[in-house]
Amino acid sequence: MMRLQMKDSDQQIELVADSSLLLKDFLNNNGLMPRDGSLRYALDQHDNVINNLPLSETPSVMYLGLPERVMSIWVDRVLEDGVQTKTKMENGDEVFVPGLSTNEHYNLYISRITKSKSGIVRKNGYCFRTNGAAYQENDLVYVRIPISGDEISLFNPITGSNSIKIKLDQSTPLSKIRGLWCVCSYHSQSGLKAYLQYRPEHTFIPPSFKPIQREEKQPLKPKLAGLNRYRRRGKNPKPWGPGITIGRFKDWLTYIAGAPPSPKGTILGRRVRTFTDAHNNSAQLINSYRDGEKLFETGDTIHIQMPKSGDLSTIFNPISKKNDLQIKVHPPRAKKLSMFSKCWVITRVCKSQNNPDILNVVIDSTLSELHKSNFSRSSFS
Amino acid sequence: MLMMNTNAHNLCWYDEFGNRLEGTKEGAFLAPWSICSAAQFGISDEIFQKLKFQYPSMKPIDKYKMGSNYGAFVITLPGVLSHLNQSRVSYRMLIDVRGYPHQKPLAYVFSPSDDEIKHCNIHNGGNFEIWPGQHLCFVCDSDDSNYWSTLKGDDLLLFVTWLEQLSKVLNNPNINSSARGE
Repeated sequence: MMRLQMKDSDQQIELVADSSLLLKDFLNNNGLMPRDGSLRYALDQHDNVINNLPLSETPSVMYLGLPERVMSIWVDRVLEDGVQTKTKMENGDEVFVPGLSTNEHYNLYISRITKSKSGIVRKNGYCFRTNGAAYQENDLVYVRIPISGDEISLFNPITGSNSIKIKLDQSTPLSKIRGLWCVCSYHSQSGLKAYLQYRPEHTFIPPSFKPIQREEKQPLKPKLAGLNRYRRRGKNPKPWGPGITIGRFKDWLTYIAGAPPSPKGTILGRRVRTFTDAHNNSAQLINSYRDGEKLFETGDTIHIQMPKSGDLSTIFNPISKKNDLQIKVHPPRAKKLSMFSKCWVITRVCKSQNNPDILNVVIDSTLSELHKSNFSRSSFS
Repeated sequence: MLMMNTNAHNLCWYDEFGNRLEGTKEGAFLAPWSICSAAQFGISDEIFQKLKFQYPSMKPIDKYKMGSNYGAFVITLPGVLSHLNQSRVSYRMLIDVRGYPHQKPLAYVFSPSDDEIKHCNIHNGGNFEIWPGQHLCFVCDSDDSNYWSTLKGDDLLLFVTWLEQLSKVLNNPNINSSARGE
Protein backbone atom coordinates (compact mmCIF):
# COMPACT_ATOMS: atom_id res chain seq x y z
CA MET A 1 0.00 0.00 0.00
CA MET A 2 1.37 3.37 -1.00
CA ARG A 3 0.17 6.80 -0.05
CA LEU A 4 0.36 9.86 -2.29
CA GLN A 5 0.07 12.92 -0.11
CA MET A 6 -0.37 16.42 -1.52
CA LYS A 7 2.53 18.49 -0.26
CA ASP A 8 0.55 21.66 0.45
CA SER A 9 -2.80 20.25 1.57
CA ASP A 10 -4.32 17.30 3.41
CA GLN A 11 -5.56 15.62 0.24
CA GLN A 12 -4.19 12.14 -0.24
CA ILE A 13 -4.66 9.03 -2.33
CA GLU A 14 -3.87 5.49 -1.32
CA LEU A 15 -3.03 2.91 -3.91
CA VAL A 16 -1.82 -0.63 -4.25
CA ALA A 17 0.55 -0.88 -7.17
CA ASP A 18 3.57 -3.03 -7.68
CA SER A 19 4.89 -2.95 -11.19
CA SER A 20 7.74 -1.72 -13.31
CA LEU A 21 5.61 1.20 -14.50
CA LEU A 22 7.40 4.47 -13.85
CA LEU A 23 5.81 6.73 -11.29
CA LYS A 24 5.55 9.63 -13.76
CA ASP A 25 3.67 7.40 -16.22
CA PHE A 26 1.40 6.22 -13.45
CA LEU A 27 0.57 9.82 -12.51
CA ASN A 28 -0.06 10.76 -16.14
CA ASN A 29 -2.18 7.73 -16.93
CA ASN A 30 -4.39 8.12 -13.91
CA GLY A 31 -5.32 11.80 -14.06
CA LEU A 32 -3.10 12.76 -11.14
CA MET A 33 -1.25 15.43 -13.07
CA PRO A 34 -2.59 19.00 -13.22
CA ARG A 35 -4.92 19.88 -16.08
CA ASP A 36 -3.68 23.43 -16.38
CA GLY A 37 -0.14 22.59 -17.50
CA SER A 38 1.30 23.26 -14.04
CA LEU A 39 4.25 21.28 -12.80
CA ARG A 40 3.81 18.46 -10.33
CA TYR A 41 6.46 16.04 -9.12
CA ALA A 42 6.43 12.96 -6.98
CA LEU A 43 8.82 13.56 -4.09
CA ASP A 44 10.24 11.41 -1.33
CA GLN A 45 10.40 12.57 2.28
CA HIS A 46 13.72 14.29 1.63
CA ASP A 47 12.25 16.40 -1.17
CA ASN A 48 14.00 14.43 -3.92
CA VAL A 49 12.16 14.07 -7.23
CA ILE A 50 11.36 10.37 -7.75
CA ASN A 51 9.25 10.55 -10.93
CA ASN A 52 11.50 8.07 -12.70
CA LEU A 53 11.30 5.33 -10.08
CA PRO A 54 9.31 2.22 -10.94
CA LEU A 55 6.27 1.73 -8.74
CA SER A 56 7.79 -1.35 -7.17
CA GLU A 57 10.66 0.74 -5.77
CA THR A 58 8.80 3.77 -4.49
CA PRO A 59 8.60 4.56 -0.77
CA SER A 60 5.35 3.89 1.05
CA VAL A 61 4.67 7.60 1.52
CA MET A 62 5.23 10.00 -1.34
CA TYR A 63 4.39 13.63 -1.77
CA LEU A 64 2.90 15.36 -4.78
CA GLY A 65 3.91 18.94 -5.36
CA LEU A 66 6.96 21.03 -6.04
CA PRO A 67 10.42 20.72 -4.49
CA GLU A 68 11.28 23.45 -2.02
CA ARG A 69 13.38 25.31 -4.57
CA VAL A 70 10.75 25.29 -7.29
CA MET A 71 7.91 27.79 -7.12
CA SER A 72 4.90 28.59 -9.22
CA ILE A 73 3.81 32.10 -8.39
CA TRP A 74 1.47 34.80 -9.48
CA VAL A 75 3.14 38.20 -9.37
CA ASP A 76 0.71 41.00 -8.58
CA ARG A 77 3.34 43.60 -7.78
CA VAL A 78 6.94 44.14 -8.65
CA LEU A 79 9.32 46.24 -6.61
CA GLU A 80 12.51 47.63 -8.04
CA ASP A 81 15.48 46.94 -5.83
CA GLY A 82 18.67 48.29 -7.33
CA VAL A 83 19.43 46.31 -10.44
CA GLN A 84 17.01 43.55 -9.50
CA THR A 85 13.26 43.08 -9.53
CA LYS A 86 11.55 41.49 -6.58
CA THR A 87 8.13 40.57 -5.30
CA LYS A 88 6.84 39.79 -1.84
CA MET A 89 5.18 36.55 -0.92
CA GLU A 90 2.20 36.29 1.42
CA ASN A 91 4.45 34.91 4.18
CA GLY A 92 6.76 37.94 3.91
CA ASP A 93 9.54 36.21 1.97
CA GLU A 94 11.16 38.36 -0.70
CA VAL A 95 11.69 36.79 -4.10
CA PHE A 96 14.35 38.38 -6.29
CA VAL A 97 14.09 37.30 -9.91
CA PRO A 98 15.50 39.17 -12.92
CA GLY A 99 12.93 40.37 -15.43
CA LEU A 100 9.74 40.11 -13.35
CA SER A 101 6.63 42.00 -14.42
CA THR A 102 3.25 42.43 -12.77
CA ASN A 103 0.17 40.31 -13.37
CA GLU A 104 2.15 37.42 -14.71
CA HIS A 105 2.43 33.83 -13.67
CA TYR A 106 5.95 32.45 -13.30
CA ASN A 107 7.61 29.12 -12.73
CA LEU A 108 10.72 29.82 -10.70
CA TYR A 109 13.80 27.97 -9.61
CA ILE A 110 15.30 29.37 -6.41
CA SER A 111 19.06 29.16 -6.73
CA ARG A 112 19.94 30.94 -3.50
CA ILE A 113 18.24 31.40 -0.13
CA THR A 114 19.58 33.88 2.40
CA LYS A 115 18.26 35.66 5.47
CA SER A 116 18.56 39.39 6.00
CA LYS A 117 19.65 40.88 9.32
CA SER A 118 16.00 41.65 10.06
CA GLY A 119 15.09 37.99 9.60
CA ILE A 120 13.43 38.29 6.19
CA VAL A 121 14.02 35.29 3.95
CA ARG A 122 15.41 36.32 0.58
CA LYS A 123 15.06 33.96 -2.30
CA ASN A 124 17.02 34.62 -5.47
CA GLY A 125 16.22 32.67 -8.57
CA TYR A 126 15.21 32.62 -12.18
CA CYS A 127 12.24 31.75 -14.38
CA PHE A 128 11.96 28.72 -16.59
CA ARG A 129 9.38 27.69 -19.15
CA THR A 130 7.23 24.60 -19.18
CA ASN A 131 6.07 24.91 -22.81
CA GLY A 132 8.82 23.76 -25.15
CA ALA A 133 12.42 24.60 -24.30
CA ALA A 134 12.95 25.52 -20.66
CA TYR A 135 15.12 28.49 -21.63
CA GLN A 136 15.03 30.68 -24.68
CA GLU A 137 17.17 33.40 -26.23
CA ASN A 138 17.92 36.24 -23.78
CA ASP A 139 16.23 34.62 -20.77
CA LEU A 140 17.92 35.80 -17.58
CA VAL A 141 19.13 33.37 -14.93
CA TYR A 142 20.61 33.96 -11.49
CA VAL A 143 23.52 31.61 -10.94
CA ARG A 144 26.85 31.37 -9.16
CA ILE A 145 30.01 31.51 -11.21
CA PRO A 146 31.81 28.21 -10.55
CA ILE A 147 35.01 28.22 -8.52
CA SER A 148 36.66 26.06 -11.11
CA GLY A 149 35.77 25.32 -14.71
CA ASP A 150 33.23 27.22 -16.78
CA GLU A 151 30.15 25.01 -16.61
CA ILE A 152 26.90 25.87 -14.85
CA SER A 153 23.90 23.62 -14.16
CA LEU A 154 20.41 24.99 -14.82
CA PHE A 155 17.12 23.58 -13.58
CA ASN A 156 15.45 21.13 -15.93
CA PRO A 157 11.64 21.04 -15.42
CA ILE A 158 11.43 17.63 -17.09
CA THR A 159 13.76 15.85 -14.69
CA GLY A 160 13.11 18.13 -11.71
CA SER A 161 16.85 18.50 -11.13
CA ASN A 162 19.69 20.77 -12.24
CA SER A 163 20.56 18.62 -15.20
CA ILE A 164 21.01 21.21 -17.96
CA LYS A 165 24.77 21.75 -18.23
CA ILE A 166 25.77 24.92 -19.99
CA LYS A 167 29.04 26.75 -20.46
CA LEU A 168 29.78 30.39 -19.88
CA ASP A 169 30.64 32.59 -22.83
CA GLN A 170 34.38 32.50 -23.55
CA SER A 171 34.66 36.26 -23.12
CA THR A 172 33.54 36.04 -19.47
CA PRO A 173 36.24 37.45 -17.16
CA LEU A 174 36.10 34.32 -15.02
CA SER A 175 39.09 35.06 -12.79
CA LYS A 176 37.46 38.33 -11.66
CA ILE A 177 34.05 36.89 -10.79
CA ARG A 178 34.66 33.36 -9.55
CA GLY A 179 32.19 32.62 -6.75
CA LEU A 180 29.98 35.63 -7.57
CA TRP A 181 26.20 35.24 -7.58
CA CYS A 182 25.21 37.02 -10.74
CA VAL A 183 22.73 37.36 -13.57
CA CYS A 184 23.54 35.74 -16.89
CA SER A 185 21.59 35.70 -20.13
CA TYR A 186 20.87 32.51 -22.02
CA HIS A 187 21.81 32.31 -25.69
CA SER A 188 21.09 29.54 -28.10
CA GLN A 189 21.82 30.32 -31.71
CA SER A 190 20.84 27.71 -34.22
CA GLY A 191 23.64 25.31 -34.98
CA LEU A 192 25.68 26.41 -31.98
CA LYS A 193 25.80 25.09 -28.46
CA ALA A 194 23.84 27.16 -25.94
CA TYR A 195 25.90 29.35 -23.63
CA LEU A 196 25.46 31.85 -20.79
CA GLN A 197 26.68 35.41 -20.88
CA TYR A 198 27.52 37.34 -17.70
CA ARG A 199 25.33 40.46 -17.39
CA PRO A 200 27.02 42.95 -15.03
CA GLU A 201 24.28 45.54 -15.62
CA HIS A 202 21.77 43.24 -13.85
CA THR A 203 24.17 42.05 -11.16
CA PHE A 204 24.67 43.45 -7.69
CA ILE A 205 28.33 43.07 -6.76
CA PRO A 206 28.84 43.37 -2.99
CA PRO A 207 31.53 45.96 -2.19
CA SER A 208 33.44 43.34 -0.20
CA PHE A 209 33.36 40.76 -2.98
CA LYS A 210 36.65 39.12 -3.82
CA PRO A 211 36.86 36.43 -6.47
CA ILE A 212 37.60 33.01 -5.10
CA GLN A 213 40.94 31.81 -6.36
CA ARG A 214 41.44 28.12 -6.19
CA GLU A 215 44.40 26.50 -7.80
CA GLU A 216 43.61 23.78 -10.23
CA LYS A 217 43.81 20.47 -8.47
CA GLN A 218 47.00 18.67 -9.32
CA PRO A 219 46.57 14.97 -9.88
CA LEU A 220 47.72 13.13 -6.80
CA LYS A 221 51.22 11.82 -7.16
CA PRO A 222 51.57 8.38 -5.62
CA LYS A 223 54.11 8.04 -2.82
CA LEU A 224 56.76 5.60 -3.90
CA ALA A 225 58.68 3.40 -1.51
CA GLY A 226 61.06 0.47 -1.71
CA LEU A 227 62.92 1.94 -4.67
CA ASN A 228 66.57 2.97 -4.88
CA ARG A 229 67.98 5.98 -6.56
CA TYR A 230 70.91 4.78 -8.67
CA ARG A 231 73.64 7.19 -9.72
CA ARG A 232 75.88 6.59 -12.71
CA ARG A 233 79.60 6.13 -12.35
CA GLY A 234 81.74 7.27 -15.29
CA LYS A 235 80.16 7.72 -18.67
CA ASN A 236 76.53 8.47 -19.16
CA PRO A 237 74.33 5.47 -19.73
CA LYS A 238 73.55 4.87 -23.39
CA PRO A 239 70.80 3.11 -25.28
CA TRP A 240 71.35 -0.56 -25.74
CA GLY A 241 68.27 -1.22 -27.77
CA PRO A 242 65.00 0.61 -28.14
CA GLY A 243 63.68 1.07 -24.59
CA ILE A 244 66.71 -0.34 -22.72
CA THR A 245 69.64 1.73 -21.39
CA ILE A 246 73.01 0.31 -20.41
CA GLY A 247 75.45 1.98 -18.03
CA ARG A 248 77.65 1.48 -14.96
CA PHE A 249 76.09 1.99 -11.57
CA LYS A 250 78.29 1.15 -8.55
CA ASP A 251 80.58 -1.16 -10.53
CA TRP A 252 77.63 -3.02 -11.91
CA LEU A 253 76.95 -3.20 -15.59
CA THR A 254 73.30 -2.28 -15.52
CA TYR A 255 70.53 -2.98 -18.00
CA ILE A 256 67.78 -0.51 -17.23
CA ALA A 257 64.22 -1.08 -18.42
CA GLY A 258 61.44 1.45 -18.07
CA ALA A 259 61.92 5.17 -17.64
CA PRO A 260 65.30 6.35 -19.05
CA PRO A 261 67.85 7.91 -16.64
CA SER A 262 67.54 11.60 -15.86
CA PRO A 263 69.95 14.02 -17.62
CA LYS A 264 72.15 13.76 -14.52
CA GLY A 265 72.25 10.00 -14.97
CA THR A 266 70.13 8.91 -12.01
CA ILE A 267 67.28 6.46 -12.03
CA LEU A 268 64.63 5.48 -9.56
CA GLY A 269 64.22 1.75 -9.72
CA ARG A 270 64.45 -1.70 -8.25
CA ARG A 271 66.95 -4.38 -8.97
CA VAL A 272 65.27 -7.54 -10.16
CA ARG A 273 68.23 -9.77 -10.95
CA THR A 274 72.05 -10.02 -10.73
CA PHE A 275 74.22 -12.24 -12.87
CA THR A 276 77.57 -12.51 -14.61
CA ASP A 277 77.37 -11.74 -18.28
CA ALA A 278 79.15 -13.33 -21.25
CA HIS A 279 82.26 -11.15 -20.67
CA ASN A 280 82.48 -11.97 -16.98
CA ASN A 281 81.04 -8.65 -15.89
CA SER A 282 78.92 -8.39 -12.79
CA ALA A 283 75.65 -7.26 -14.23
CA GLN A 284 72.23 -6.36 -12.91
CA LEU A 285 68.75 -5.81 -14.32
CA ILE A 286 66.84 -2.85 -13.01
CA ASN A 287 63.24 -1.89 -13.62
CA SER A 288 63.02 1.87 -13.54
CA TYR A 289 59.74 3.50 -12.42
CA ARG A 290 58.37 6.91 -13.33
CA ASP A 291 58.06 9.28 -10.38
CA GLY A 292 54.71 10.78 -11.44
CA GLU A 293 51.03 10.04 -11.73
CA LYS A 294 51.74 6.80 -13.59
CA LEU A 295 54.47 4.28 -12.84
CA PHE A 296 54.71 3.23 -16.48
CA GLU A 297 53.73 4.74 -19.78
CA THR A 298 52.78 3.08 -23.03
CA GLY A 299 55.89 1.59 -24.67
CA ASP A 300 57.98 1.46 -21.46
CA THR A 301 60.02 -1.73 -21.11
CA ILE A 302 59.96 -4.03 -18.06
CA HIS A 303 62.18 -6.98 -17.13
CA ILE A 304 59.96 -9.88 -16.20
CA GLN A 305 60.56 -13.50 -15.37
CA MET A 306 57.81 -15.49 -16.98
CA PRO A 307 55.78 -17.85 -14.86
CA LYS A 308 55.92 -21.59 -15.44
CA SER A 309 52.48 -21.50 -16.96
CA GLY A 310 49.78 -18.95 -17.66
CA ASP A 311 50.11 -15.32 -18.64
CA LEU A 312 50.04 -13.59 -15.27
CA SER A 313 53.14 -12.40 -13.45
CA THR A 314 53.86 -9.90 -10.71
CA ILE A 315 56.53 -7.26 -10.17
CA PHE A 316 57.34 -4.97 -7.28
CA ASN A 317 54.72 -2.31 -6.57
CA PRO A 318 56.33 0.79 -5.01
CA ILE A 319 52.91 2.08 -3.87
CA SER A 320 51.96 -0.96 -1.80
CA LYS A 321 55.63 -1.86 -1.16
CA LYS A 322 54.81 -5.44 -2.11
CA ASN A 323 55.46 -7.69 -5.03
CA ASP A 324 51.84 -7.40 -6.13
CA LEU A 325 51.77 -5.32 -9.32
CA GLN A 326 49.91 -7.72 -11.58
CA ILE A 327 51.13 -8.07 -15.13
CA LYS A 328 49.36 -9.83 -17.94
CA VAL A 329 51.88 -10.91 -20.56
CA HIS A 330 50.89 -11.21 -24.19
CA PRO A 331 53.09 -13.23 -26.59
CA PRO A 332 54.80 -11.55 -29.53
CA ARG A 333 53.31 -12.06 -32.99
CA ALA A 334 53.46 -15.63 -34.29
CA LYS A 335 54.88 -17.03 -31.06
CA LYS A 336 53.36 -18.93 -28.21
CA LEU A 337 53.63 -17.83 -24.63
CA SER A 338 54.68 -21.29 -23.56
CA MET A 339 58.00 -20.79 -25.43
CA PHE A 340 59.00 -18.25 -22.76
CA SER A 341 58.10 -20.31 -19.73
CA LYS A 342 60.30 -19.37 -16.70
CA CYS A 343 62.51 -17.15 -18.94
CA TRP A 344 63.58 -13.60 -18.26
CA VAL A 345 62.09 -11.44 -20.99
CA ILE A 346 61.78 -7.79 -21.87
CA THR A 347 58.23 -6.65 -22.28
CA ARG A 348 56.61 -3.43 -23.40
CA VAL A 349 53.58 -1.73 -21.83
CA CYS A 350 50.60 -2.00 -24.20
CA LYS A 351 48.47 0.96 -25.24
CA SER A 352 45.28 -0.88 -24.42
CA GLN A 353 44.77 -1.09 -20.65
CA ASN A 354 41.22 -2.20 -19.94
CA ASN A 355 41.68 -3.22 -16.31
CA PRO A 356 43.20 -0.67 -13.91
CA ASP A 357 44.45 -3.46 -11.64
CA ILE A 358 46.35 -5.41 -14.29
CA LEU A 359 49.08 -4.00 -16.52
CA ASN A 360 49.00 -5.40 -20.05
CA VAL A 361 52.44 -5.97 -21.58
CA VAL A 362 53.69 -7.70 -24.68
CA ILE A 363 57.01 -9.54 -25.01
CA ASP A 364 59.55 -7.69 -27.17
CA SER A 365 61.12 -10.69 -28.87
CA THR A 366 64.06 -8.79 -30.43
CA LEU A 367 65.15 -7.29 -27.12
CA SER A 368 64.63 -10.56 -25.36
CA GLU A 369 66.88 -12.30 -27.91
CA LEU A 370 69.60 -9.67 -27.30
CA HIS A 371 69.30 -10.42 -23.63
CA LYS A 372 69.76 -14.06 -24.33
CA SER A 373 72.91 -13.61 -26.37
CA ASN A 374 74.52 -11.34 -23.75
CA PHE A 375 73.76 -13.45 -20.72
CA SER A 376 75.52 -16.66 -21.57
CA ARG A 377 75.67 -17.77 -17.98
CA SER A 378 72.20 -16.70 -17.27
CA SER A 379 69.34 -19.04 -16.81
CA PHE A 380 67.79 -18.39 -20.17
CA SER A 381 66.51 -21.60 -21.51
CA MET B 1 -26.19 15.08 -10.48
CA LEU B 2 -27.46 18.03 -12.47
CA MET B 3 -31.18 18.70 -12.36
CA MET B 4 -33.37 21.02 -14.32
CA ASN B 5 -34.92 23.71 -12.18
CA THR B 6 -38.66 23.70 -12.64
CA ASN B 7 -38.96 27.16 -11.09
CA ALA B 8 -39.02 30.29 -13.06
CA HIS B 9 -35.62 31.50 -14.23
CA ASN B 10 -33.52 33.30 -11.61
CA LEU B 11 -35.71 32.18 -8.72
CA CYS B 12 -34.38 29.89 -6.00
CA TRP B 13 -35.65 28.42 -2.73
CA TYR B 14 -34.08 29.76 0.48
CA ASP B 15 -34.47 28.85 4.15
CA GLU B 16 -35.12 31.39 6.91
CA PHE B 17 -31.37 32.12 7.18
CA GLY B 18 -31.00 32.87 3.50
CA ASN B 19 -29.28 29.58 2.67
CA ARG B 20 -30.02 28.26 -0.77
CA LEU B 21 -32.01 25.01 -0.80
CA GLU B 22 -31.92 22.23 -3.33
CA GLY B 23 -35.69 21.87 -3.04
CA THR B 24 -38.45 23.41 -1.02
CA LYS B 25 -39.40 22.75 2.61
CA GLU B 26 -41.61 24.24 5.23
CA GLY B 27 -40.82 27.89 5.83
CA ALA B 28 -38.78 28.16 2.64
CA PHE B 29 -39.30 31.07 0.39
CA LEU B 30 -38.77 31.65 -3.26
CA ALA B 31 -36.63 34.63 -4.14
CA PRO B 32 -34.63 35.92 -7.04
CA TRP B 33 -30.89 35.19 -6.62
CA SER B 34 -30.06 38.88 -6.92
CA ILE B 35 -31.20 39.59 -3.36
CA CYS B 36 -29.30 36.69 -1.80
CA SER B 37 -26.59 37.37 0.81
CA ALA B 38 -22.95 37.63 -0.33
CA ALA B 39 -22.24 34.29 1.32
CA GLN B 40 -24.34 32.68 -1.39
CA PHE B 41 -22.10 33.88 -4.20
CA GLY B 42 -18.68 32.90 -5.41
CA ILE B 43 -16.53 29.86 -4.86
CA SER B 44 -16.10 28.60 -1.32
CA ASP B 45 -12.64 27.95 0.03
CA GLU B 46 -13.45 24.24 0.29
CA ILE B 47 -14.27 24.02 -3.41
CA PHE B 48 -11.30 26.19 -4.26
CA GLN B 49 -8.90 23.88 -2.45
CA LYS B 50 -10.40 20.83 -4.16
CA LEU B 51 -10.04 22.47 -7.56
CA LYS B 52 -6.41 23.31 -6.85
CA PHE B 53 -5.54 19.62 -7.08
CA GLN B 54 -6.30 19.62 -10.81
CA TYR B 55 -5.60 23.32 -11.36
CA PRO B 56 -2.66 24.37 -9.16
CA SER B 57 -2.30 27.67 -11.04
CA MET B 58 -5.57 28.95 -9.52
CA LYS B 59 -4.99 31.99 -7.38
CA PRO B 60 -7.76 34.04 -5.79
CA ILE B 61 -7.84 37.80 -6.13
CA ASP B 62 -8.05 39.17 -2.61
CA LYS B 63 -10.01 42.30 -3.40
CA TYR B 64 -12.87 40.19 -4.72
CA LYS B 65 -13.18 38.11 -1.60
CA MET B 66 -16.84 38.00 -0.61
CA GLY B 67 -17.06 36.93 3.02
CA SER B 68 -15.41 33.54 3.06
CA ASN B 69 -15.97 33.00 -0.66
CA TYR B 70 -13.84 34.01 -3.61
CA GLY B 71 -15.36 36.26 -6.29
CA ALA B 72 -12.57 36.12 -8.84
CA PHE B 73 -9.41 34.23 -9.46
CA VAL B 74 -6.72 33.77 -12.07
CA ILE B 75 -5.89 30.48 -13.71
CA THR B 76 -3.68 29.23 -16.53
CA LEU B 77 -5.30 26.93 -19.06
CA PRO B 78 -3.62 25.28 -22.02
CA GLY B 79 -5.17 25.64 -25.44
CA VAL B 80 -4.29 26.04 -29.08
CA LEU B 81 -3.35 29.17 -30.98
CA SER B 82 -6.13 28.95 -33.55
CA HIS B 83 -8.14 26.57 -35.71
CA LEU B 84 -5.42 26.92 -38.35
CA ASN B 85 -2.44 26.63 -36.04
CA GLN B 86 -2.58 23.99 -33.34
CA SER B 87 0.51 25.27 -31.49
CA ARG B 88 0.10 25.01 -27.73
CA VAL B 89 -0.60 28.25 -25.92
CA SER B 90 -0.95 28.85 -22.17
CA TYR B 91 -3.89 31.19 -21.72
CA ARG B 92 -3.72 33.17 -18.52
CA MET B 93 -7.26 33.93 -17.55
CA LEU B 94 -9.30 35.89 -15.10
CA ILE B 95 -12.42 34.06 -13.98
CA ASP B 96 -15.27 36.15 -12.63
CA VAL B 97 -17.38 34.06 -10.26
CA ARG B 98 -19.05 36.89 -8.38
CA GLY B 99 -22.44 35.69 -9.59
CA TYR B 100 -21.74 31.98 -9.26
CA PRO B 101 -23.63 29.66 -8.88
CA HIS B 102 -26.65 31.74 -9.91
CA GLN B 103 -24.86 33.16 -12.91
CA LYS B 104 -22.49 31.44 -15.23
CA PRO B 105 -18.81 32.28 -14.54
CA LEU B 106 -17.18 34.67 -16.98
CA ALA B 107 -13.76 34.02 -18.45
CA TYR B 108 -11.35 36.70 -19.74
CA VAL B 109 -7.89 36.25 -21.23
CA PHE B 110 -5.26 38.77 -20.19
CA SER B 111 -2.22 36.95 -21.55
CA PRO B 112 -1.27 36.52 -24.39
CA SER B 113 -2.17 40.06 -25.39
CA ASP B 114 -5.05 40.93 -27.70
CA ASP B 115 -2.66 41.32 -30.66
CA GLU B 116 -1.22 37.84 -30.16
CA ILE B 117 -4.54 36.04 -29.77
CA LYS B 118 -5.71 34.23 -32.90
CA HIS B 119 -8.34 31.99 -31.33
CA CYS B 120 -11.69 32.62 -33.01
CA ASN B 121 -13.73 32.13 -29.82
CA ILE B 122 -11.91 34.82 -27.89
CA HIS B 123 -13.32 38.30 -28.38
CA ASN B 124 -11.24 41.34 -29.20
CA GLY B 125 -9.88 43.15 -26.16
CA GLY B 126 -11.91 45.59 -24.14
CA ASN B 127 -12.25 47.15 -20.72
CA PHE B 128 -14.36 45.44 -18.09
CA GLU B 129 -15.34 46.59 -14.62
CA ILE B 130 -13.79 43.47 -13.04
CA TRP B 131 -10.31 44.82 -13.77
CA PRO B 132 -10.40 48.47 -14.83
CA GLY B 133 -7.40 49.58 -16.83
CA GLN B 134 -6.49 46.09 -17.95
CA HIS B 135 -7.19 45.07 -21.51
CA LEU B 136 -9.15 41.82 -21.29
CA CYS B 137 -10.44 39.49 -23.98
CA PHE B 138 -13.75 37.83 -23.18
CA VAL B 139 -14.02 34.12 -23.98
CA CYS B 140 -17.18 32.86 -25.63
CA ASP B 141 -17.65 29.50 -23.95
CA SER B 142 -21.06 28.56 -25.33
CA ASP B 143 -23.71 29.75 -27.75
CA ASP B 144 -26.48 29.92 -25.20
CA SER B 145 -25.96 31.34 -21.72
CA ASN B 146 -29.60 31.00 -20.73
CA TYR B 147 -29.18 27.30 -20.03
CA TRP B 148 -27.20 28.10 -16.89
CA SER B 149 -30.20 29.27 -14.90
CA THR B 150 -31.86 25.96 -15.60
CA LEU B 151 -29.01 23.99 -14.02
CA LYS B 152 -29.05 22.97 -10.39
CA GLY B 153 -26.80 20.66 -8.45
CA ASP B 154 -23.56 20.32 -6.57
CA ASP B 155 -21.55 23.57 -6.71
CA LEU B 156 -18.26 21.76 -7.31
CA LEU B 157 -19.68 19.58 -10.07
CA LEU B 158 -21.29 22.57 -11.76
CA PHE B 159 -18.08 24.51 -11.67
CA VAL B 160 -15.87 21.67 -12.88
CA THR B 161 -18.30 21.07 -15.72
CA TRP B 162 -18.04 24.70 -16.77
CA LEU B 163 -14.22 24.68 -16.44
CA GLU B 164 -14.02 21.58 -18.64
CA GLN B 165 -16.21 23.30 -21.20
CA LEU B 166 -13.92 26.33 -21.15
CA SER B 167 -10.90 24.08 -21.62
CA LYS B 168 -12.66 22.34 -24.50
CA VAL B 169 -13.28 25.66 -26.22
CA LEU B 170 -9.64 26.72 -25.82
CA ASN B 171 -8.49 23.45 -27.35
CA ASN B 172 -11.13 23.20 -30.10
CA PRO B 173 -11.83 26.55 -31.77
CA ASN B 174 -15.33 26.64 -33.21
CA ILE B 175 -15.24 28.66 -36.43
CA ASN B 176 -19.04 28.51 -36.72
CA SER B 177 -19.28 30.80 -33.74
CA SER B 178 -16.47 33.22 -34.38
CA ALA B 179 -16.18 36.04 -31.86
CA ARG B 180 -13.03 37.70 -33.10
CA GLY B 181 -13.14 40.36 -35.76
CA GLU B 182 -9.98 40.82 -37.78
